[in-house]
Amino acid sequence: MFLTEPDRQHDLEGLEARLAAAKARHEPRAVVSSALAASTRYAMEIAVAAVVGGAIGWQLDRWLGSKPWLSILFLLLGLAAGFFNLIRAVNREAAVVELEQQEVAAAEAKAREAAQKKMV
Amino acid sequence: MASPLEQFAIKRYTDLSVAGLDASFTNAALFMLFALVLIWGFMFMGLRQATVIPGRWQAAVESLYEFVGDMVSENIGPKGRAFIPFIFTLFLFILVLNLMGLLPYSFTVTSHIAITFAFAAFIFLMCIVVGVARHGFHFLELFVPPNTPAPLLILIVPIEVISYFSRPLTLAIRLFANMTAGHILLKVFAGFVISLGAAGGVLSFLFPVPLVMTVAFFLLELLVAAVQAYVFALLTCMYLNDSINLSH
Repeated sequence: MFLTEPDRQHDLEGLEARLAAAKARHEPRAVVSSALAASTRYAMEIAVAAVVGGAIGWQLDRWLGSKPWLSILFLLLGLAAGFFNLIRAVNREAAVVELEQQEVAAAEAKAREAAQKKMV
Repeated sequence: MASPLEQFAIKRYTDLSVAGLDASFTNAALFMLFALVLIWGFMFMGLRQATVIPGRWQAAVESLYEFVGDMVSENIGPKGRAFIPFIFTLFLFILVLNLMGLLPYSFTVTSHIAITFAFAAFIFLMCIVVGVARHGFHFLELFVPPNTPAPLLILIVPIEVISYFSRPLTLAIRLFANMTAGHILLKVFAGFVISLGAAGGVLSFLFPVPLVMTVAFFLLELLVAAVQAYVFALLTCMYLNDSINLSH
């Protein structure tokens, strides 16, 4: 595939925009607010998922007369659901960080190469 | 001394019932109207004379719109453009309600779970309707993550279902709990200033300590008000994304 000049320009601009966005994400205030957002989010999800699971189990117990086994089972499933969400979020975040590091490394390598060319 | 919970009391101004349901005009309704007027004024000032080179008000409105637009396209993608007006309205309304609640003598509408749950339940139903309208029966694939070994499905599907049905509750409780807890904390620390000052003796000289704490908490509450409005809009985007793109 050939990249035309505007395409390449666009690609570079895209990279720069992504780098700028990555830098902005590491700005202290942005880090604080996104950490605040994430922490309230996942802590809440674990608690609420456990409660919702317990409620579903309790209702099933009432219908099926299997007290208390389904309550216990669904409470545990709810807890698992909460932690599942947390694990997924951590994995997603880790993937983003890895991608950023790769991009930064690639940009640095490119800059080094350009500098060497200039020296030659 | 007034109880720190007194600020959350609902006051009726006029009694009104619609089809047998209580629809009295309360201070919550009044402050929602205030928010509406504020938002309308803000948008009016911004869009009064729209020019290519924006003035101050127009720049404020535009940057807010771009903020929401970026959030939607980042989380939903091009198919989400239809939902920008909804998310924008939701974000701005909650943000203004949260910030207005921090003014003295005002009322924090979002500290009532009835109201946050009404928002959340509407969003939850909307996500289901959008998902079913776009994918029909395939919408249920949302509960079956791809590349899961068949024996694990017995465990994974209930987990996914529980986490899906806990969404409206997390959405509602997070906003409500953050606003309520913050306002109680502010009131308690502000109360300490007065009770320490009135205590007499050496204790009276300690009153600046809770005063400083109150100021610090107030700043934190400003951040929380903005962050919680943002989180509410962001999570709405993510839930809509699941319905539109059927992805996790």
